[in-house]
Amino acid sequence: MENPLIVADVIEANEFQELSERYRVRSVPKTVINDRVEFVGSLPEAKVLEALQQAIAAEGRA
Amino acid sequence: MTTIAEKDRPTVRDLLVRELVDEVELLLFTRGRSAEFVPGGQQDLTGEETRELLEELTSLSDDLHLTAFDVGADPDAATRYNVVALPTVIIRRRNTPVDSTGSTQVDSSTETAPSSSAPTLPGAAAEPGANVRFLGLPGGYEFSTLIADIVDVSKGRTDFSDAAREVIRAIETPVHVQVFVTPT
Repeated sequence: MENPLIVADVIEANEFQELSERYRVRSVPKTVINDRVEFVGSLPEAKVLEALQQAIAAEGRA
Repeated sequence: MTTIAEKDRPTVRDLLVRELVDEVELLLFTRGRSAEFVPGGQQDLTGEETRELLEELTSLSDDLHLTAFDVGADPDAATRYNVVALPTVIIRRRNTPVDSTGSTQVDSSTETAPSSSAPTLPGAAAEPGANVRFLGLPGGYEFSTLIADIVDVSKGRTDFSDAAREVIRAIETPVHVQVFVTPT
């Protein structure tokens, strides 16, 4: 919403078993950013930003 | 039970009246009943239930609109919006401006599908403003998430702090955030 380059998907884990298995979803909510960085549960804003930046940095090194 | 309970309807209606600022459209992608084309080999387990839910929801507010795509009959729609699972619901502000002049479009109230003239960003939503999505039935607890997202999109703002917003707006590479949830 704040940036058109960011796509945010909310995925119903039971309905998409294949996706859930691919990302090893054991508990929810589980967040995966750019297939690289993931966390479980809800995090404070600063931690979310940190994860976002980690994912982008990892992208740059790939 | 995926449709909105009779007793909850006034609450939802009041909330929408109170909170919505700009008009919002919900783009629903299902396989419909017609076809064999299934993007990514995904099934469409809850397309019909999702359609019923969204039809009821959009009937509660004049500022909410539903556009349904049957990707069986219209496979290009899935490509245009980068839809890889069914059902998918995209939440976006209605008449998202696509011209580069920055002028605000006048609501001409046409019900046609949006044009595909916008440039495609790799890994991002192919269409402008189509980057908040639900994959699967937004029922149970996720119904509240859907409503909250509709309100945010309508207001054009999120609950992030100004500092966080600045960081997010400065991102120059495509980012794909996936949040796995369950309705219970």
